[in-house]
Amino acid sequence: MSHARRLLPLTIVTTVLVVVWVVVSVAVAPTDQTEGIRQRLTYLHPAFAILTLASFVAGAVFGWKHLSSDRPLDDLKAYVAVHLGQVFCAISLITGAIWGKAAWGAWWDWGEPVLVTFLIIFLLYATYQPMRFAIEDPERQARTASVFAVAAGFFAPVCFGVVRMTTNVLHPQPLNDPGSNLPGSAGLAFGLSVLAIGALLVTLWHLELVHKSTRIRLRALQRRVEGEDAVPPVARSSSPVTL
Amino acid sequence: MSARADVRTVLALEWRRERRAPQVLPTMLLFSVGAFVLYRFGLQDGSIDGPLAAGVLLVTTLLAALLGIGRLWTAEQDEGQLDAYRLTPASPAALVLAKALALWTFLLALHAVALPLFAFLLLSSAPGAGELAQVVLVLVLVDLGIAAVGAVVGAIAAAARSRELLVPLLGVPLTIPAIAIASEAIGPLLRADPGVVDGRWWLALALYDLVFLLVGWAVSEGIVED
Repeated sequence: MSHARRLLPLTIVTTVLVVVWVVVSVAVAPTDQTEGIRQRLTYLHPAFAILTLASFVAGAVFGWKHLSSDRPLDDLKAYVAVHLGQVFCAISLITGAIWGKAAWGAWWDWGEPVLVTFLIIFLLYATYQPMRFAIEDPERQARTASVFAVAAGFFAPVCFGVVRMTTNVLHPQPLNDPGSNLPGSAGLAFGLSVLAIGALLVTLWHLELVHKSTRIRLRALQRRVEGEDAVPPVARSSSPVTL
Repeated sequence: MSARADVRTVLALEWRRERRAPQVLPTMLLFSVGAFVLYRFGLQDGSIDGPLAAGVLLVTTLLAALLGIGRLWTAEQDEGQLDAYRLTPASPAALVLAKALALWTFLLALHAVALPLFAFLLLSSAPGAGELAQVVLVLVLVDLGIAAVGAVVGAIAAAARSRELLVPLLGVPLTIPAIAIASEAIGPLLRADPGVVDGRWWLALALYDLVFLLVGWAVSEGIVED
């Protein structure tokens, strides 16, 4: 299986990138004179936030492919992308709160559109599993989940577009604000963070995909050997592995 | 039949169903009026204006719309009308668009009654004709956005067991941008000294509507397909 074959080279590349990213972020990039050590969260938090959105958009693309092709593997790909997006989204919220506490003196600011938007997106995607869970027929579950993945995948960038139009109070926009470009090794550390966490996302996506598809194939083989009744569908679970 | 005729037929069917056994409109209307009265008590008989008034009007609209969204695909799922639709040569996109238009027209009908009631019960000062026309235009756009999202959300929820739980769970986050933009647009119009609506809010609302109408079109096969 091509995804399984890609796993080893991906793991090696990801390990190298993560090591280089950590070394550059911790040892090479200079400590900011005004913000101090907390500025180093710039090499962690924004990358997770960017890749969260990338993961949700990938979920929408696979969901769209599933709706057009009806291949169960595309549904599984969308499921894994959304699942990892949820994990990355939670990490973004936690690292963002830590940064907020250090920079603004508050874990959370309800008046800050970027934070609230991210929370809205997190809450929306938090309904993905309960939604799947509520549909019993596997094919229907997969199709409805793909509809959700496409709609929510469109929603996330639109939501951020709307937020960009509103007045930004506190949250910095490191990619947009004039004069906020990170200089030299700091810029390198930021770029590496996106690259390394992006590679981590792709590797984890492959790992989970291979694990789940192997389990599905194993169950199918078990059914052929031991009979249909020997391996009943896993009840009350929202993952495609229930098949 | 052309796609336009299909949409018109399904839309007429929705309205005929509503006329024969009124469910969605009376529910939404009673809920809205009840909420306005509740606000009247909750705000201790205080009359409101500006962003607070915009928020009250729009959030009440959204919550009323959720009731309508929950009923939008009921007949298709419970009475097997989706199977009947699949037997016709009409396109899935026509059905989803007709559902969105049906909800849109329900919301417009709701606002025709609820907006004067809102002004009577809660607004501190009645808006002028120019401001009122702009408020109505914003409501037309925000209703279209809610309807476009509602058609997709209603279809997703209808496929599930816990339909009533899923509609607000999915519908509220998806409509927050539309409510936020509309609030920015309506807020200045409902102030005692009315302001001017920034042009970008019109554009943003129109874009939101367009995006979710396109999403509805894009996923219509997945919704209607067996």
